[in-house]
Amino acid sequence: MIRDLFRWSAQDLVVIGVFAAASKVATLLVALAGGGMNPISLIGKNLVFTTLLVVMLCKVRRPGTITLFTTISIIVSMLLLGASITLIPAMMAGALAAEAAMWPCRDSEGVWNCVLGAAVYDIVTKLGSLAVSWLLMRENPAMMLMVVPFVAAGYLGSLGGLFSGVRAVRELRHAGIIRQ
Amino acid sequence: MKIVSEQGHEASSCVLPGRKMFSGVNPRPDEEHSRSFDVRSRMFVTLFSSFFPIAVSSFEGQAVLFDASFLYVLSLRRYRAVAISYAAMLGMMTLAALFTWGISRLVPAMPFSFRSLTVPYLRGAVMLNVILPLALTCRIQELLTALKGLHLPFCIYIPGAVMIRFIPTFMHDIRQVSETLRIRGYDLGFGEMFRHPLMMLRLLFTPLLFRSLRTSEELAVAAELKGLEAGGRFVPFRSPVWRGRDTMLVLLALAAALLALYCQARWGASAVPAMR
Repeated sequence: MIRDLFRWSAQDLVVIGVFAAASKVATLLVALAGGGMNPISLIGKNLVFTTLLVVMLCKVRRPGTITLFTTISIIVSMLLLGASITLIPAMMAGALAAEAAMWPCRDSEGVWNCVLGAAVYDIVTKLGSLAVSWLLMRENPAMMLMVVPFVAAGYLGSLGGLFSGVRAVRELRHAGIIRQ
Repeated sequence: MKIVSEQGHEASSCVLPGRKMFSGVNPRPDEEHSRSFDVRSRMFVTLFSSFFPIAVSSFEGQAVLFDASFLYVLSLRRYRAVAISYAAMLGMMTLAALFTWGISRLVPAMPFSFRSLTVPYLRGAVMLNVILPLALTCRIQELLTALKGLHLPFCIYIPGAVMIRFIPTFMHDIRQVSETLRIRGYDLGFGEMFRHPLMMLRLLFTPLLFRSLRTSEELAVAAELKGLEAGGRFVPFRSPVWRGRDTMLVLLALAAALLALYCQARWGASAVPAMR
């Protein structure tokens, strides 16, 4: 039974790949369109990311989806974008915590289990990224003080993304793109 | 979208977006390919840079990494693109320095000094130096072939390949949606983004979400029709060639990293305290 749970179809894998790309490009574009790392663009960036995450989790209802999504993002970011290797523990911890939170209600068809997974992923990843920021800027603690409000602003966007994700899923179900 | 010439080279429409953005005087594809490094060797260098600049915290060690990576980026001979990237990075660094200065005025216990910013900024510069060669010279098809060459599991290779292939399509979709909104009279300027951020997000994001889901369904059907499955055999469009210069590049990167670690061990303790 466990083996069946983790057997991926080509369709699931393609959806995960498409959403990994969409989240990467959309968040980058929101950050650029907003003129860099100001609070509004940070909120928008995280809102878009969390909305996409909720939609993806509703589209691919399998245990391991968020871990695979994170793994793909990490591999591509590290090989092509030079993302720091220190981001891996925070992101993987977020993904595994989200999987654990979603596991008890894995058979439910509603949107709330996906929202719970995305919420846990966001909070654990944000806390982990703060720890990474300290590691990167330990030479100058003043810069760390600047990072904390920015991460908090980003988390506000993530919270908004949970609500917009629920609304987007409802719309997509209405349009027949996401099936129950 | 993909255009392949008789010699098997893809046309410039399917190169990475960064390359198109910085289009300067580009050499012919076959010339460029023959004298450039293999994608896998560039990926190894990027991988090194995701670890060593974090591990090294002394100025001397970071200087070694920066010098080596700067020579690497200059070897591209794309001076205009490098200058534009450095100008953008300097702008962002100046902004961050101003914020840090402001915090030091508010919290006197955290004094501001340019020297204490040197190491974090050098880390960023090293990262830029290794990403630029990958972004400016690699084609998507080469990246896909290199990804396959890494012998990743099927469940990681397929989403990774789709991700790399989908990025230009997604950017094309964004351009189309933006044009549609402009035709309908919406202003997508910087000011409008600040005045009505939620409306702008809704106008741009909703069609893109629908497009992404539709594209994923189309790609999934195509993948199933082509019989892509775990254990399936893929034949690369053009086999990558690992040359002696690629081995040399990886060895030089490793040597620079080891030298930086040596500098860290040798002079790290005697550096300026704030830069440790």
